Amino acid sequence: MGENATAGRGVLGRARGFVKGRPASQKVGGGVAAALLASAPFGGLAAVPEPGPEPIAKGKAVMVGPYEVVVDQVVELPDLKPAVSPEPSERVVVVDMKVTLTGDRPEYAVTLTKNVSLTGGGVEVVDGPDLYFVEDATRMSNINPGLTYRLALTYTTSGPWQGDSVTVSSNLVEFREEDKQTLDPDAWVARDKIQSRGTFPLVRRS
Amino acid sequence: MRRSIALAAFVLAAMGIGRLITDHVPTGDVADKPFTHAGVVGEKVALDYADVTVTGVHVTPTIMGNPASAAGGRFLVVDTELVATREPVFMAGFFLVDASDHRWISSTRGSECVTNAKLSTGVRHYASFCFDVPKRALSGARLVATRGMWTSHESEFRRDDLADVDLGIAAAEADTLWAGTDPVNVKESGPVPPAEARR
Repeated sequence: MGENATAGRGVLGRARGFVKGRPASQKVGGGVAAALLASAPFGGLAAVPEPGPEPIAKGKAVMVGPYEVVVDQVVELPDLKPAVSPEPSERVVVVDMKVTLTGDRPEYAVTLTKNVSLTGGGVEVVDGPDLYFVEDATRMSNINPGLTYRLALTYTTSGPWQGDSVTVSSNLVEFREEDKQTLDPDAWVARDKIQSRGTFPLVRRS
Repeated sequence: MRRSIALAAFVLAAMGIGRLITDHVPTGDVADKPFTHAGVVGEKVALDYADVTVTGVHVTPTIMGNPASAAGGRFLVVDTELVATREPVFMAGFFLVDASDHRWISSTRGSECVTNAKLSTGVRHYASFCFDVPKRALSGARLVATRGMWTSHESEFRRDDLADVDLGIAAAEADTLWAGTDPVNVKESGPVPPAEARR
């Protein structure tokens, strides 16, 4: 027992001597490392959780790739003639929004339509999404920069929406300057990640 | 031994020259650029496959009753006369370029506004292209006409003939044109001259 205590004191003494001999910067680094190690059981070494999607709310601008989008309301209708004429059992859910293409060149509307989705209704989207200019029901396939359009993003659903709210989500869409695999430079590319999400009350019109 | 050294020196020199060429000769630019033929309103621009003439330019808030995108916005309408010179041609690319070299795609809003033209050989074809634009796009605007449609990296008309027509809008004129409120009724696209078209 006495031998063990002596040996222990010897090891501690050598460790103390080793630490004393280190420069101040190494002492600080060692202290931080020891503190981190001590905090491990309490989550000190756990990964920082990724921030959740940015909220989408009425009148708030969010970016979907190059498009600045402001959602005003979500409306369900039996049809949206002359633009959309679904079967009697189907419905049209319209995201009524203002869209401004930032940047300095035209872009395809699919960069917007393919990256906004609706959930929460317990129905299937059987057609769309398609994009129409609200004033005259012209279908929008390209959008010019610098102009703000009031657009209807339409989804034809298999039946009436179940529930009184709609969750609108948008994907992360990033600009890719160069792609050696597809030789398709300067393109907007959708990533498999929800960037923005918000819930809107469903306005029903007949 | 001397022969091996000479061979190595030759290989090194060849590699060096190759590097110099790729670094300093704009091979990419040369390979990608279209053959641009400049013109002005009222003057025929002869391309390899068609003649392109801009016959009229209008600025209006309303085409066929359809308003421009934003309250107070305007359409720039470009009337053209097109003739395929050798064989039938499909011209898919008609877009506007402003003084800052920004691009604008033509709109289909307005029932007779078109975005492309199918040309029969030797038959005059009349078509109007309507651009929903902000005011800053007017000054110095040019119409670009080509066979390939506009894409984000402009690859569809590489090494092709392209008409680049100055629409003659001076900076001083932009305000006056923007202030105009007369509606424009675009005539049906096709072989019938606009003056004789029923609608």
